[in-house]
Amino acid sequence: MKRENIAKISSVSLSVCFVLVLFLLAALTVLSADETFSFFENRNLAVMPTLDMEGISDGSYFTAVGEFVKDHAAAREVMLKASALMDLKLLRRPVVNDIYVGEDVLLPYFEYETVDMEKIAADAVTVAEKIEKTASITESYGGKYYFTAIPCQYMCYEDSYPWYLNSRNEYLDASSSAFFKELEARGVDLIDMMEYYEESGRPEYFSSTVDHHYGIRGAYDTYLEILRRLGEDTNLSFPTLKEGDFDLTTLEGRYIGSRSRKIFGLWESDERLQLILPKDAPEFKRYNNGYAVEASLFTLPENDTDDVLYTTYMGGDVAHTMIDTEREELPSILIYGESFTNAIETIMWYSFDEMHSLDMRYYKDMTVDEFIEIVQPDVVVCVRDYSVLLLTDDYGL
Amino acid sequence: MLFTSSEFIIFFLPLLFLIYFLVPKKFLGVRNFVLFAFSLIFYAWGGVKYLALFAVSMAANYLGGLGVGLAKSKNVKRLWLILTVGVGLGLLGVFKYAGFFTSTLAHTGLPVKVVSFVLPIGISFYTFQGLSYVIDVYRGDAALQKNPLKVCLYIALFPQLVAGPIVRYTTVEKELSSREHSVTLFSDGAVRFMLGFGKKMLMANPMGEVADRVFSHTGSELLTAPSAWVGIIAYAMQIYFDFSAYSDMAIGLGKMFGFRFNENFNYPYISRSITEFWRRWHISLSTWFRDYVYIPLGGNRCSVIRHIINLAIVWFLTGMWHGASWNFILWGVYYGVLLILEKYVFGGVTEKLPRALRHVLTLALILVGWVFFRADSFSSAVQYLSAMAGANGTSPHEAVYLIMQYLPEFIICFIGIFPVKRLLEKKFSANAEHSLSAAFFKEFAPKLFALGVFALAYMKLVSGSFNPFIYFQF
Repeated sequence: MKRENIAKISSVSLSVCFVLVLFLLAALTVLSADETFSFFENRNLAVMPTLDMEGISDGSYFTAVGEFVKDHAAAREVMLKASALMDLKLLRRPVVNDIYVGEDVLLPYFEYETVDMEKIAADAVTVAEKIEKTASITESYGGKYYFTAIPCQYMCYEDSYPWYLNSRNEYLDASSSAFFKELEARGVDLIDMMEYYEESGRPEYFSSTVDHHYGIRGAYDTYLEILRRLGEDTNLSFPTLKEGDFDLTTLEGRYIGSRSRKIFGLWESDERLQLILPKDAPEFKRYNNGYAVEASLFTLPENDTDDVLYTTYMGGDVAHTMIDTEREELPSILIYGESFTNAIETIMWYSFDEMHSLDMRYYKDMTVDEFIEIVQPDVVVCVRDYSVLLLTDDYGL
Repeated sequence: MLFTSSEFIIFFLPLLFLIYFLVPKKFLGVRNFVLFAFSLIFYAWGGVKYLALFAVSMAANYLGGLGVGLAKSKNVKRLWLILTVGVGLGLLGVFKYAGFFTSTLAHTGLPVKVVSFVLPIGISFYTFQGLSYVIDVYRGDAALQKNPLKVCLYIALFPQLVAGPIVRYTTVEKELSSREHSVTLFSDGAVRFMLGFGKKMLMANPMGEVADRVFSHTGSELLTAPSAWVGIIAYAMQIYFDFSAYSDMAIGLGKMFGFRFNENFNYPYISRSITEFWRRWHISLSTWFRDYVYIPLGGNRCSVIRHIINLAIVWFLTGMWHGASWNFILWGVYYGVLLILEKYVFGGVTEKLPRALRHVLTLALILVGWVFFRADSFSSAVQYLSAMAGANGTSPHEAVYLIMQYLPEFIICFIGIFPVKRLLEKKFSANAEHSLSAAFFKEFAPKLFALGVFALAYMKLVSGSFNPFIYFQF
């Protein structure tokens, strides 16, 4: 074969390949235009914008079209996974999709930050005043209020970060000590689970390796600690679910936590989601946002081997959940905060007549103070993780 | 629209190929019209309202060219030229510099109202291109083009419209009327485009992430010396691979449609002097200033003082061209001073230094220059330079993270600043002379490599969100 022919064949082949690839991408993109949700990114995909003259004039319409095309680009999910896989296995980057991939744990990546002590002090006062008000409303009718601080996952695995990454310990230490000092000054009862976890000498035991929430052991020990304090501080009587009173069930499917979800479940982990099932569970009714629903505490996967999410606990985030065991001799409880309440709710209900739970990110009917004034639960527990203690934008409060 | 946007790759380009190549070769006018229409869509993607200004610019250059070309007397020709240059630079002045000038005057205490306009995309590029046409017609370097479509297509041609390279009219004059379309040219263009696309997505963007991260710490104690050095090295990589990638894609796209644009970069970071650097960096801009400003001012064929003044003017304008801000002007002046010093003060001394040392010195000076270029303001640049000198300590934490996280990109970029591609091509060509399998390898390997790079770049395109083009702001 002549050299000129080789050049010609290679040029024709490349040109055909290039054009074909472009047309294939266009066709596949058109075909995937009706997808609406990206599971691993946990977000809705961009929608095609409606035509408007102003948007065309200033370019915002075309920008939105661009977002739509990008979100529905051919083989997007395959590409996202391939990119994460390449970063994880081939290039072995320490951080993949904002997740630090440790030896035995997935942790969030944080940029280095300047810890603003003045802002922390000011925010600590703002949030503590809010908590103080809620506690005094609870105590005004004889109820008992606890603020429960749960260490977030990366606190429990602080030592797993390599030396060159920011573990946020400086911020967390500063914010928690400023806030706890303000709570103490205001006489609010604090249950600091970090202290509890640290006393055990292995805080990571209570947390998850693949999710930002605690594991079932973390939730269970939090439950025990709240009840212990309640027993000490009040005359309320309630049953406690002790070791031996329940079966610890391990779900077979892969646990896709919020951390592993960000890297498309590509990190191998043998961690499985566990459930605490009381051996003598009382019957109960469940209401979501005031409507009766199936009396269950878990949303289990269709097949045993299907992937499992943290939303297994209580079916995920619900604005207002009520579990009614119709045991009027027992006290009632309100747990409020954000998603950290979900796991503990699956245990806490056992000890109370009525258990209300408010996810304040979604509950908008009234403020938590108004809710407490109306319902007057015997016990009110705010559950917050350390990373959001000082959030002042009503996140979970 | 960006070359590295999903809508460009997935819809714009295939649709343009389809329509353009469906038109038979002999109807070049129709093909030109298709290209022009798509170029307008490409430009209007950033907002249709900017088309009006663009249309005024094109019309002014077309009419100016007619005026200059048809005028009988030299004075009338000159009048048309002054008028056209005035309109072009006037529009550029109003939309790009009015805010800067009025705010500068207001800062001095004068009762001036500060005005502000949104900078139309690519105005610096298309203004300079349009002017080059009219000036070349005036000088007799180019023939008058009476067909408005050809003039408008020359200015609007989408591959080089918004971020260069600045294509001279004389470069594409013949191709506007008659050009070759061949599979070989298309294939060469496609390879060049894919490699440019990969360069942008796989090299420039990651380096940009590093640079943006580090520069965001300017003014805070987080910007330690190791971070500052990593940041500015990353920025040097970003701006080179970003802009040269755009030029690669523009040149590649041009080839696919039968146009041959001149090279815009020639491995600038291997330079051993600042003079050499500017012969290798943004060649289309530096030659534009050379031919349309520096030489008309007298160039270097004049007294030393006059030459220094000429250099100062050119580099002041080069700085200003890049942006209406004091740090860009300072950046231009910085290079002006360096070139003057190199020419008249220490040029002889540095030439005697070992080659490696000259490289290092040149690179160090270039890095300092990039600090002024990248910083938000003069004071930020000073803060950044202080941090590089160790003013905020030498904690290596973030620098180590950034190096570990972006190690593959740093390595590829380091290799990429050397003319490895050229060396490989030379070697393959030499081998191909002697063996058929080597000839196969020489022809197929680069093309397969380009396809692989394109696949990886597409993966990054749809999976990443960090995708700015630096030279769009000019």
